[in-house]
Amino acid sequence: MSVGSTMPILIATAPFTGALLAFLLALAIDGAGHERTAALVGAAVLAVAGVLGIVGAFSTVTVVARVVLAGGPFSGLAGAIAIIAAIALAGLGATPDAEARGIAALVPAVIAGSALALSSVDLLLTLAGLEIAALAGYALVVSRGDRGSGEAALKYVVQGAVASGLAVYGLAAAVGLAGPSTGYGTIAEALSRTTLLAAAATSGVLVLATLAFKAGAVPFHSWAPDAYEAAPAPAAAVLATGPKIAALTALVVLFSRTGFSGVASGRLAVVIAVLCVASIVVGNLGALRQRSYARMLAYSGIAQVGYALVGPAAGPAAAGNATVFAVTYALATAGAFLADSAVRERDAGWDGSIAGLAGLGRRRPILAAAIAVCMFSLIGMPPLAGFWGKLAVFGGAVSAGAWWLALVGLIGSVVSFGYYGAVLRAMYLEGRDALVGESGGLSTASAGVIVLAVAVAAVGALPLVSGLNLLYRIFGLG
Amino acid sequence: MSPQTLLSTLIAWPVLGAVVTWVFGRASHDTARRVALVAALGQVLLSAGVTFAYVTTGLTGKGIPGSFWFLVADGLSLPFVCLTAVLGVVAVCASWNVEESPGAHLGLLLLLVAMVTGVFLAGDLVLFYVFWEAVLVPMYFLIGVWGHENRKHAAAKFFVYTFAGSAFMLLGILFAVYATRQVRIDLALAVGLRPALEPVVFWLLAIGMLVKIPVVPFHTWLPDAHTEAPTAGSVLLAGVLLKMGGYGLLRLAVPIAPHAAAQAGPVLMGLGIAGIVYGSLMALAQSDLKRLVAYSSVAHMGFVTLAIGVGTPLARAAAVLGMVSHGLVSALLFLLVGTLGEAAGTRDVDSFGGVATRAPRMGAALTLAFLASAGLPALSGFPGEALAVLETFGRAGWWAAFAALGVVLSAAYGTWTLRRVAFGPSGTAAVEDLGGGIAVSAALLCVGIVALGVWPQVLVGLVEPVLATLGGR
Repeated sequence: MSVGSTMPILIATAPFTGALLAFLLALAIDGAGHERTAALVGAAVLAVAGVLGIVGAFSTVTVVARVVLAGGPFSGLAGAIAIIAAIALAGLGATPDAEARGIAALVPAVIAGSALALSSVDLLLTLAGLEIAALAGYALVVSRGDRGSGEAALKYVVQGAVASGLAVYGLAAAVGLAGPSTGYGTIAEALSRTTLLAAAATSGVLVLATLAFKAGAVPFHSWAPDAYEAAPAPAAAVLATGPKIAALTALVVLFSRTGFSGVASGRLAVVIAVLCVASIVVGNLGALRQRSYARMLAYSGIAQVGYALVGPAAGPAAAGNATVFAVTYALATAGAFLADSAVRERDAGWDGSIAGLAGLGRRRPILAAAIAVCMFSLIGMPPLAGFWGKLAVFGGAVSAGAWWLALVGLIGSVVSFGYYGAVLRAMYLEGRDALVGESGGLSTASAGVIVLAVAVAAVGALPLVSGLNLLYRIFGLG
Repeated sequence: MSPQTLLSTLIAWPVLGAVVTWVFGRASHDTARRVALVAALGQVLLSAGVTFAYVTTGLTGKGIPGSFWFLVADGLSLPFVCLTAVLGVVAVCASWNVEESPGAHLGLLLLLVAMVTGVFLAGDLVLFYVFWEAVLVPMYFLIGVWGHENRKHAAAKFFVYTFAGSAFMLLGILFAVYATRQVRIDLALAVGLRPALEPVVFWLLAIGMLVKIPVVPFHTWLPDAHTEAPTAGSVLLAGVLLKMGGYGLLRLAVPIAPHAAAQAGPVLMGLGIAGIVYGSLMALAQSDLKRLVAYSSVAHMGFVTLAIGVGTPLARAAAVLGMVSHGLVSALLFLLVGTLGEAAGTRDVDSFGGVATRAPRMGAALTLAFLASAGLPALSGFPGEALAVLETFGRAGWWAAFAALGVVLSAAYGTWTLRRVAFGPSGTAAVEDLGGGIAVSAALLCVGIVALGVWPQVLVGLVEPVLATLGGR
């Protein structure tokens, strides 16, 4: 193999290899007792790997080692989650405390597992990648070390174990049908020939349930609010983006492109639509009731997974839009989670409630503006990234004839103003007598929020001029 | 300069002005005010220049393929662009004495001007929606941060109502985009929709636009928003934001689904008449001056809905006349009423009285504004509403009597309010006469009201050729 053909593959697989490297380096440095350095090194490696992944998205999709796809959206999506994780870790580097220990190594592990799962074309490998991410995730949730985090982690582990069990049964059924190989292509071929339709459907449902659990879709969502609230904010930012994008990508590939797509064109499509609508309804209603900022974000994340599922639920032609949406969601939601620690940095007495953000617009105008950009993007306000994500999934649904899914999603978006708007209201409309704060001396955690908010605005403004082709090229599963 | 670049500056300039105003506003309030005024005046010059270019040479552009950025300036959009620019200056003058973060306040006003201008210029379905929604953000903060006592509730209500309406509109746009496979409005119109889809698309689009106008029974956000908004917010809200609804119907909903629009005509006419009668009666019953003017807006926009429902070219021209006139008159009314209320600390109608003797300039402007609102001939309110009633008579016969009743009612509450506020014995509230920028902008609006009343054919001549190409009966 010549150098000329190896280079693109090295670049395209950089997010996974980079995350692995970041994991090993951070583990070694953290083990030597330098949490701060470990986080910065991990962040730097992840950032380089992520940028390489975005660059690699412009190369054509190729199969590497017969089990992994590289190039195109598979590099772009892995690159995006690596960059988001790098920003989260960089924020951690400046605030060392007891709970920061171990995070520097665990975050790259989540990314490595997620990158593996989203680019795999072998069911065994996909599930293994998600499991790696989940194991690191359990540790991240418990890393604060208090009672609440222990409970949340236990809940997460137990439910995760059930999901893993389902995955094993689903895998077993698939192996039974498709022979020793668990490649997506082999499964698709075997299912197209099989007469054991019940077995094929059972296998599909079990795998679908596993992926829905990892993505945090209803009815497999109840771990998410506790886990995201218990995890340190930067870890929550990673957990709410990396594994979610990985599971959604795998779901789209497996159920709309290959693997179970033959089965999914029938009854499984209904199952996906049910998951989608249930997530939108439950997530929105749940988020409306929350007073805690992080829990609100967690519940709203359930609703956002529902919007993403509008893609695969509307049919194979519209399914690829789900990943475009997921990336736009991830940018804003990571910024929103990081904001949690950025607020705490200067405001140690903050009780974590939305009402406690009163007057932030005056006290810390730049941080508040960045949070506001993230909130508006999550609502779907144009011209921000989240709008184009919603335009992609809802437009795809209308195009595929499933306009009622778009209607449900749009109504959900209107409802979402109730809780995202509550943050805006607290920051700007309440506490008008707060002291005007100085804008200088930004902390690294708020720098992360600002970087992500700028990314949200840039990804939002660009399509106005360039159209959506670029976004689809990097993040859409064509 | 290519036409697209020229039109882009109409949006880029106020955005730039907003940013500069906000940045300077952090250091010096006075600098922020001056920068904002220069930006707003510049926007007037730019709009006038573009209108001149359109009238003399015409503006046609190609746009970038694969991009959503496509702007169109024609006889239908330019009157609204100019109206927006003029009211931008009025709004900046009205906010001159805002003490709380004036940089942010004026910056948001300029941003609002930019976004509304974008709505009127958008030649692309997606771009139209982008600007339509983006308008909500600055307005939400203007009401929510700088509003009066009940501002938080009013801001949220405004946002949720109009956001819910535009969610349906987005669905309509998506239907139109995927049915025609075009995102540009002109190309989508050329392709057209199949008959079965027309009513669906028309009503989805119309819901968003009717909420914005607003028609009864979707109007309840309006009195709250107006009462709580700061003066400049009310000026822009009544003056141009409501016009987005009527403009959207004329530009998009009616042309893309002409048959459905014709079928929907009686419904729209009914909604219009309901708005006229209900708005006028409610205005009669108000004791809060701002609420009174807000309900009069519901009534006047009822004439616009009625005229669009009638649907003849002349009726649609009457709708545009009515909208531009209402843009000037309601802006003037809110400017005066807001100034009165802020100086007196109360907006109760009965606490004023004898304003004309105590503050002659204010009294004169109030008189002109309420007479224009009542539809006095030779003022701008007359031609649009008279034409709307006449065209309604032609289409629906004696149903036009209800619209005529609305004219009588608007004369009733207009003159009655005028008698209680401007004339009669002096009231308890302190009154200041108009001065400075507010006096200049009030005078400007008065000139516009008289000019449009005397010489409406300038506007009709600009609008009619475009409306003739945009479908309808």
